[in-house]
Amino acid sequence: MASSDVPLPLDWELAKASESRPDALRFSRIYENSLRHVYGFIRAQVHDASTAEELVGRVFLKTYQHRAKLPDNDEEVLFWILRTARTTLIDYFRVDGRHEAASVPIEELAIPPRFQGNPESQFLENQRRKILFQLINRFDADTREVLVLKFFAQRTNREISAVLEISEGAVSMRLLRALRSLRAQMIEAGW
Amino acid sequence: MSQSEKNQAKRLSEYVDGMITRSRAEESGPCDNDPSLGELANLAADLSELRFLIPKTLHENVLRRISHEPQKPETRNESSFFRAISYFRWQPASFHVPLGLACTIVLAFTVWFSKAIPVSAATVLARSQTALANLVRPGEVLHRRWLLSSQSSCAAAGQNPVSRGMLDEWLDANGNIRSAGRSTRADGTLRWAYTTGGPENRHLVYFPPSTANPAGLLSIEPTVEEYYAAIQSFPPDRQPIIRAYLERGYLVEPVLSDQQFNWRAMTDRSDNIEELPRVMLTVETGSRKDGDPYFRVGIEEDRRPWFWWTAEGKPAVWLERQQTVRFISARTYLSWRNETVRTDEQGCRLTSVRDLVADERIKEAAAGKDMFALDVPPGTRVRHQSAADLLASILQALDKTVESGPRRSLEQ
Repeated sequence: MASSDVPLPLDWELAKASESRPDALRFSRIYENSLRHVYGFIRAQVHDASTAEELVGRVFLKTYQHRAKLPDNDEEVLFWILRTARTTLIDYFRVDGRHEAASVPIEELAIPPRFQGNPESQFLENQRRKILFQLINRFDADTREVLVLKFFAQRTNREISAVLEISEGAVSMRLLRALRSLRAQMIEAGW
Repeated sequence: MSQSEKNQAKRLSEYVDGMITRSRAEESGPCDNDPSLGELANLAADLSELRFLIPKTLHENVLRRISHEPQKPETRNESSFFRAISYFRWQPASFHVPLGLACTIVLAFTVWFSKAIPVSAATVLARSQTALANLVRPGEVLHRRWLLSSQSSCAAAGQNPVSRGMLDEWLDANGNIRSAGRSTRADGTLRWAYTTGGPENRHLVYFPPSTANPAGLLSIEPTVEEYYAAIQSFPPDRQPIIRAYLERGYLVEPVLSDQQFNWRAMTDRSDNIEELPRVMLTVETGSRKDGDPYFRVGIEEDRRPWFWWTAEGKPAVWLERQQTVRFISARTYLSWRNETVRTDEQGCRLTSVRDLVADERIKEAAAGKDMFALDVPPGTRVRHQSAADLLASILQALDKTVESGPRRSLEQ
């Protein structure tokens, strides 16, 4: 079961359905646009890939159930989905009683193109990314959410403030302090 | 919080937002550098490159969920519920007593009926699949041992109609789920073994030497992509049958039986394909002697293609009618007993029972050997099996009438 960025099976199914169902076509587009962000947001905060898969499935099921009521603007839909992802995650931590630190095998992380083809720098980069990831997971939930929304869900401060319902200034400050702390810890770890 | 810290936070955010916006637009190249940010900017650049690979199974997971949703989107105005809640919230306390009583009665009825008909068969099977996937932690292997017994109604002269054996299955979940299994007879001899840990995650199935295959046979199975690519080699009007067959998951069922077939059965949408009638599911509830509740899920398949890989020529394919009952714990959602009745085209019946006798998680390191490697003796015939050959044989079998079908032994 290799990993891929290409969502072939779902696209294929929805493409079939979309011939007679415009709402399915829209859902397909929303799914394609938001999957990477939603998966990154959830995967970075749960213990393993199968849990992330389960929770992302719940998020898109809710999105599908509410597809008639979603905003017209695709960017606003993404906010809606990220907020849903956040509450789904909170529910999971509360109901399932689990809040284990995320563990990400290096194979689950994509290798940036500039490191591909050079095994030595790829190895070093893998190690560095592994440490970075472990350190992100040691932050408190509020800080971690900002980092994850920023770097895994790729949201601007304005968007993060809308998802978390805090001011943009608070987002900026949390980000600055988190990066300072992360930098200090990286130096301490020898990087 | 000093003013200079506020300013630095603002500059850093502007820098990172610029990077994020460029990345979302799939543009490359550095952002305008702000020297005052120093190493923080480099760190932010490193972080913005962290990406997860998305598991392929995720798409199937999402599809499985939404395929059970009504095609027409829900248009009920949910805010009416909240308006009702806010209305009751402002009523005097005397109003709350009868309301509370009414709610209690409704709740009691709900609980009563929910005990009588707890969930659908589809839900039970879906939860069973999730439970199994979440059962093992990285570094651990789940070992399940089943006792098998079967009885044939058409045993040849001198052949014992009853056979017994054991099936050991191992599963791990280090990111991707791997599985392996060994089926042995009562005397300990191997019937077959499989692993999903072949090259390119191919399934490997080993059959020891037999009359049909004196050198034994190691089948290297096609990948899912190869099966789907092979569809194109069939005429367009035959392709939906092949596709329905593949989507039903028979190819993976013997390997990851509890995991794969369950949700395939639920998401099956081949209603209009005459050659492959829809799988029927039923559910009942019961309690074991120790009081543990369970679900009894019935799976009925009118025409089910079976096949065996061969050392030479095309795979052997035949049709059967299959009725399966899975007993699934209501606490863990895992099967603990399977009963199967298979009836071939000549009316011969093979009744099989599979009972779970061991279910343990073991540390992979402590296992002492790689459970997912096949022990294949030298000299074994190795064959890369063809997806197109198998699918052609399946189609041929499905097209045949019952009268012209070949007689095959159910117990191989």
